[in-house]
Amino acid sequence: MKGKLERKTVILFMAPFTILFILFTIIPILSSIVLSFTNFNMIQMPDFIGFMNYVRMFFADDVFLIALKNTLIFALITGPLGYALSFLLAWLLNEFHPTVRKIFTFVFYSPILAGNVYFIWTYIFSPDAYGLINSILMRMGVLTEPIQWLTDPKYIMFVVILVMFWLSMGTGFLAFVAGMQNLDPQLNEAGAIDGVRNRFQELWYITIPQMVPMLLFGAVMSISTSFAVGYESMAIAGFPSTDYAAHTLVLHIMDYGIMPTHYELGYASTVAVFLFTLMLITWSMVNRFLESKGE
Amino acid sequence: MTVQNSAGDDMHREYTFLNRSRRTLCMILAVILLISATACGSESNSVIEAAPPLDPLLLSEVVDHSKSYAEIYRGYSAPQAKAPIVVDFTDELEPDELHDHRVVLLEDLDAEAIVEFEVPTSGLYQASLEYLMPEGRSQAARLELEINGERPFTEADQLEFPRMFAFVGEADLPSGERYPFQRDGGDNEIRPDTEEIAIPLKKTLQNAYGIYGKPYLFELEAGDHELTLRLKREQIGLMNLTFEPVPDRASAAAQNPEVLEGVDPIMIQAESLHRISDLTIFPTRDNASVDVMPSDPESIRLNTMGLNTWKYAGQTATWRFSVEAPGWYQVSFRARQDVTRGMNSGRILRIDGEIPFKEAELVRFPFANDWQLLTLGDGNGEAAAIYLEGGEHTISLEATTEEISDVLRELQRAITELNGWYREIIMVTGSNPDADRQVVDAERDYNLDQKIPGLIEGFESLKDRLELLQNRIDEIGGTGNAANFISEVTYQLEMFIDKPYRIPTRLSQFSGNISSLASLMSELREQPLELDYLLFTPYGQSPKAPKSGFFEQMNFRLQGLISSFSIDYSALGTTAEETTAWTGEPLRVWVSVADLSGTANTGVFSGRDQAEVLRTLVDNRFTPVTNVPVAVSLVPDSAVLVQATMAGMGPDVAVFVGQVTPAQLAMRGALTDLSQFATWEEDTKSFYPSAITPFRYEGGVYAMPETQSYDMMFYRKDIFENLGLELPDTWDEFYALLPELQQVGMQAGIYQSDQTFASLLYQRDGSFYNEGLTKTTFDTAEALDAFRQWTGLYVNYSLPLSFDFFNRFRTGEMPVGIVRFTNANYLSAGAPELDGLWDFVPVPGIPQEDGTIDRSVTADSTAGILLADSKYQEEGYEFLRWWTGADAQIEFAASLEQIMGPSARYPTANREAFETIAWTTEQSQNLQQQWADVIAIPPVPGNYQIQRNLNFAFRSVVYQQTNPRETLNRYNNDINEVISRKRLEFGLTVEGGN
Repeated sequence: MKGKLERKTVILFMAPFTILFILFTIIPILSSIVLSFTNFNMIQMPDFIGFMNYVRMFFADDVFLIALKNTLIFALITGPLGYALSFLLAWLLNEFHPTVRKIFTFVFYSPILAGNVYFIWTYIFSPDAYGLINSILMRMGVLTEPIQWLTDPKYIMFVVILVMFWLSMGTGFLAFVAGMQNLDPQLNEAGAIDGVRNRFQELWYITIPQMVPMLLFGAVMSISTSFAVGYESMAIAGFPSTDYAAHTLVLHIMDYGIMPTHYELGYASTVAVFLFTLMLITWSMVNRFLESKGE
Repeated sequence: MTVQNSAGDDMHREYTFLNRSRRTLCMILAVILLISATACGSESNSVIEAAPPLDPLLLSEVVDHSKSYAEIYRGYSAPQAKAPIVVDFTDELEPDELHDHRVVLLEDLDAEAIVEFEVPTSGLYQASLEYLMPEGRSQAARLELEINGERPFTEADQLEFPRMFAFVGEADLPSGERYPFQRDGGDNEIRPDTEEIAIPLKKTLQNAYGIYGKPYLFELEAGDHELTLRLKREQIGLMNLTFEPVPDRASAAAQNPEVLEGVDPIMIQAESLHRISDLTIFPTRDNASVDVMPSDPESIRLNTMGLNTWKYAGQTATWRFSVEAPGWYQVSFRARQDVTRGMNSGRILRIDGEIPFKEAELVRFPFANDWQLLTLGDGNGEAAAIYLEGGEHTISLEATTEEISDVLRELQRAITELNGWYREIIMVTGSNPDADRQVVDAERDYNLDQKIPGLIEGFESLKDRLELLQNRIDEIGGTGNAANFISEVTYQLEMFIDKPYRIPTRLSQFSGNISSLASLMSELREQPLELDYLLFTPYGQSPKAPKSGFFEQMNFRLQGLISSFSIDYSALGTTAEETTAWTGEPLRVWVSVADLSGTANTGVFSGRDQAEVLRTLVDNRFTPVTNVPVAVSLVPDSAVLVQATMAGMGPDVAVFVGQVTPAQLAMRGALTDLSQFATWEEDTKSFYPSAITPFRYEGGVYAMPETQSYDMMFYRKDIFENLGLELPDTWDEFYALLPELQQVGMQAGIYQSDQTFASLLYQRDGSFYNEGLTKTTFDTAEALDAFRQWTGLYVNYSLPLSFDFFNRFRTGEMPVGIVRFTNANYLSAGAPELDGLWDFVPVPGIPQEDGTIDRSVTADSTAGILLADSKYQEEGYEFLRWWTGADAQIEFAASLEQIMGPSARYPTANREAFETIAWTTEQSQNLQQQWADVIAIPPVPGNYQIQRNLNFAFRSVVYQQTNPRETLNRYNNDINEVISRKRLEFGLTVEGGN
């Protein structure tokens, strides 16, 4: 009797989350897996076409390859660098007086708080001769004519990467700052007795192992943001960017799925499934690495 | 145990803390409540101070040799006239009969009425015209006046004579009753239909733009004269023109009013208008307070008038009321002027058409954030008294810029001079920082002060005058923007005078400052005023505004908040018309805001305003005739149609759908082929084929065109005249013009869009696709040639790649540009200082063998579509047919322009409706000539790739100097792959050799 009641309670407590999770996560993922095997123009009924979409994605879609390359650049370079940067910054901030620390934390986190404020970069890099960087460089005599920062494929990626770094002080950074304050000072003392010679050894052997949960959280956030770069790139470089120079997988999905152009939801789902798998694999690798560090 | 104990302590401490803080909180709240309650209880009730006499502001000592009124006025020497002179047109000329009156009709442009008249004694006269308006485009008529075959001053060709309108059915109402506004399905009051009142009108001749606040004065010598009135716009029936002495009115303080006892005040609801001179004046609403009468927390009540719509000089609103007890009254207004910070809004007050005393010549409504009850003063701080006989009366208020007109005039002159100096400077330094930045070198001294004679003196005089202007604005009471803009310019001029070598490096700021002054001028010109009601209080009583308590107000706001959760703001309401014949749901019509505001307006107004006009039109013209109720909703853009259709939630009909969407939907079988309806052929005969082509797909036609906007070549008349430049007719002439412009630091502007390529290709008789529309033809010689010309414009002729046309055109830096003709709307709304200084002509083209010039250009269009899923196919088509037909389009275009002004001029695709749009004759001819050359590219599956790849190809050639032929080929192959893939997807045949 008691066991049954307990089970009912458990189910009751789990129900709200489970229902929402199924409705908004499981069902969309399953339906996009199903749709990825079809040809679906969003208005007429989808036709089943087997693995044709996957074949097309890997062998017949050059733009997909560009998008994959760019996504990997963000995931493997911008993401980890931003992640490391925000950890180091949090570590440095930890040394300051709490008030100063709060101010700096606010300053570094403000780009995220401000939402779509990355639009400011389109002004800074405006291609007009009166754009901020162009006009400064031209006044200094470095340039004689304005650089088309946002449409010349030579510069687009550079600008987008810069903006992504600027945005990288995200939720992960806050978790690091918070985590640093819960470190056990006794361990540092013990470490000093055991022969830790400098701050970096302290960081590596004492601080990081204590921070594993925060680091994991930060990693998940960082991976999902860097794989999901899309809107930022679109806001800065336009859609599509010249020669797809800043095209990412997310933008590729949007291009086929929701932009008023292709309306090929089946193919968009294929790319989405691919992106999902990619993120899953990366996350499990990071997870494994950090867990090993924690032990 | 100890642990628990301390936790208990903590809890206790926390509890007392909570208790204490709760008490503090309560007290604070109570104080706030009290303060706000008292603040609510007292609405300021003050007497309008009379305007302090200001010296006439004629700062410009430099006579500019123009024959502007300011200069002519300065030369007047005759004494004030004593007696009026009436010049009756109907006596002297052959009269016509119009609405039972004898008038002399001027119907055609430049039609004239010439009469002789005699002046007994020399003197200064003002003039007023009595006239009757024939039906027309509901615009004001414009006349040019000449005396003895000569315009007395340059502005005498812009005399405007308004019409008079009233709400339908207003005349039948008992006086003093609020107009019964119609309500829609949601119990919301809707804007009433108006009609023109054909009665003789009288208008004193004055400046239509408010540059001179007082009526024009004419110096007439004794003897015989000849008067000519020439028609410049619309039509007019002339009755008589009176030259009269300037009236010298006594002050209200000179009267001896008697106290009137035992009489109730008379209240007139301001929204219940009797007559309006301009359709832009209409009832508005303020649902934020229970004190605005009448009020309703949930539904819309039209309870005010004038909000943001009654602000230009000359616009007049009239109310009627009846007086039971004759006697002395004082007049108060519940008014709000929260727009022009620190400035007053001027009005001329008339009772029964006459200005009663001096103080009524200029009633100043001061800036205030909230509603105020203002009583007209007598100049001594007391309320002015007006004697009213028993019976019917009217009261009217006319907007006037009198207080600020000196400032406006001097500001306009300063802007013209500043722009002149700016152009002289860039002729030396080059303005075009895009191409010549190395020339504008901070280190190099151009000796501008020596190269441009008079520059420093000019700047000094401008600086002094601007400082005086600023003082004047301070004197009037203005703060904020006005002072800042002006002081920024004076500061900069001061620096230029001190250090002329710094001028070249500050050019862009300088031109920015000039633009700010220009926008300041259009801001100062505005005299906005919102009225809730007018109140005649018997003399001796103090005027009182009914006032609600704090809780009443809170309750009202709370109800409003609660109802806001259930109101669908995207729905504009359903026609309330209860029709017995109709049993189904109303026809659902979606209006796409983005496409609407993109094409049909200027960005000055949100799409919502236009959609409201459309709704009113449907209510008044469609539903009553067809008995089909219509529910109009706003959607953000037409792309949501695809998603909505997928979800089965789509509308029956969508209007203002962007050009590409109909084909996108049609390819997927979501739209009805309109050409299958019996009357389609007939219904589309007033469209050019180019309006329909974008919606043809595989033999069907899937949309009815509404608007088409295409490129015209805009140019600055003044600059072309100054530099002696010719307008280019062909591309060769255009290329010849470029170096001449570049020599003086100016540039031409063409947007780098792929549409330019399309235009150039069609000018060469090329085309986008092969016959079967299965493949592009970008591999032809014409296409390569067009591509070379397109990229060459930027590579070889250094046209700027990105620019803001409006700003550069305004400063004169870009005196010529090929842009959509709808830019004229921006210019007329946003650049009043350029009035009459710009125009547009057809774009340059390529000469053909037969001697004609091919000026093909592309167009943007919007259209109405009928969804295939809709249950109401016949009704839906009927709606589209009605909506894109000439009658509805004419009325829609006219209403937009009446309500929002010329900046909302509508680019209709209907040729019959176009005839009625108020372009000047010359502009209309130019537009029509270009329109005939508009080309349209049929939609093909996958055509989005063309735009994409053409832009990529363009950038590759322009940025990286790749070979045009190879680049175009490479991207073209990709385009054709996509087209083939898409054709397969839609089950169409594919070109074999691909």
